[in-house]
Amino acid sequence: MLRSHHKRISLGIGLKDLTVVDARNLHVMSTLQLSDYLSGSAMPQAADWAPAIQAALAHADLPGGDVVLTISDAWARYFTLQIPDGVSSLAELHALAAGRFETLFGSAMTGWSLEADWKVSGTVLVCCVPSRLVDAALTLSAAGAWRVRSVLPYAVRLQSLFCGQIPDEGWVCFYARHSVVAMLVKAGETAYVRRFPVESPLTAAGIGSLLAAESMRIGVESPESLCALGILPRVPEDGVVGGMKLVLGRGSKLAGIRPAEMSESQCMARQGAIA
Amino acid sequence: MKALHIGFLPDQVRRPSVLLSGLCVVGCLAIVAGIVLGLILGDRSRARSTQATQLLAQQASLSEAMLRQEEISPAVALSANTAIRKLDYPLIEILTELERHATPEVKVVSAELGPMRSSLRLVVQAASIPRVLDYMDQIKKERDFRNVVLTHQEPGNGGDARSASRFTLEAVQQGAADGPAESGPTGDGAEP
Repeated sequence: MLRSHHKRISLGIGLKDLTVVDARNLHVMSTLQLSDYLSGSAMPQAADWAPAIQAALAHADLPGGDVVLTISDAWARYFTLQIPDGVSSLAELHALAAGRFETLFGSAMTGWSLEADWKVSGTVLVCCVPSRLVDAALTLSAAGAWRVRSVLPYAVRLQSLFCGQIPDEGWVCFYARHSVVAMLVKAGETAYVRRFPVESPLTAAGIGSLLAAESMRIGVESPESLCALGILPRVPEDGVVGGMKLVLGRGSKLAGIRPAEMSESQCMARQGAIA
Repeated sequence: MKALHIGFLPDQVRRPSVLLSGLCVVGCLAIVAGIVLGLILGDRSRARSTQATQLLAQQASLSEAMLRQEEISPAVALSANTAIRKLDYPLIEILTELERHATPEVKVVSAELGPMRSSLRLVVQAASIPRVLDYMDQIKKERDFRNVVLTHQEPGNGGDARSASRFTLEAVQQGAADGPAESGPTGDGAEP
């Protein structure tokens, strides 16, 4: 296939559905219910993701091309790791992160792929996604027709899109339909992260209360700003949430995102196409 | 906030930014340019150094030649001094010495160097030859006039024997001559 005719699509895997979007014109090419193709979703690290991905691509009715894959934060795990002094290898860091994962989530890291923005010191953000989902993407690329260009959870995708607009100090919340990932930023670096599963979209008051409690729990003063990205609920007109100044993402990277009309996977697929 | 460098595919993680790639390219170009410039400047420096060495050598040779020029041979120095003496001949002093021996009967009219500037020509005015001869005896006591001779007589105006005549005396100047002294010319006005 000639490179000039190479199709570029974006696949968004939400909590309940998955959508394929044409990266060039942001048109929805296919939307499937995840439950029809994914069994064992209660344990994402053990589920077989390949049939769902292959079915979504097959419904797009394309011979092949490039794929950008965005995963709902509901399928990911986030935590921060304080790098101790004297660490001399990446294997040591992986081992420390695996131990921290087991401490936080009560189970071993078996079935999870771990990646982080590694540094030699300080606090790093660690992100985990199901290994079988990453393997399904690699298998798809190996087959030849499709080439998977990136696999990222939704919060990390949004962070890479809007990092220039996120203040260096304050909370940043990555909104999805069924979860909110709250990240505390200090001096431009991640200081703390926590994912909050939600049954219904959080209101401004709700997120304000949640963040105030979290600030108190981790022993920090409530910052002055709150940056909100993703599939946003209704936001206050005065731009203040929980006593914090509200900062919203702006510009062409929000084009085509209509949370009230779109499913979670459609919003993810569109923003993955823009990345 | 700084961008997170996270990716779950082997070729996805830590893609360098366009800016970083550009800086690397610029850095490489700067290194290459620095090397080339260093080579060029090095060549120029070596050329300048060679040129400076040559100039210093020329300066040294010129200085040596100048020193050699200052070493003048005795013959050249004598010739130069002789020429200087000719140009700077003390005629005033000679005239003063001659007038010291002058008498009311003999008066010095003029004194000048001869054509070759190696003899002194005096013109005196006297009433008769004996007076001139006495004058000549007197000035022969001077070093520069020991071989003074009478070479010419010019009668006075009116053709009268008692009117003053002008007599030309010549004396070879020992101090102004280079080599053997010239003998005075003979002719009219010789001693009777």
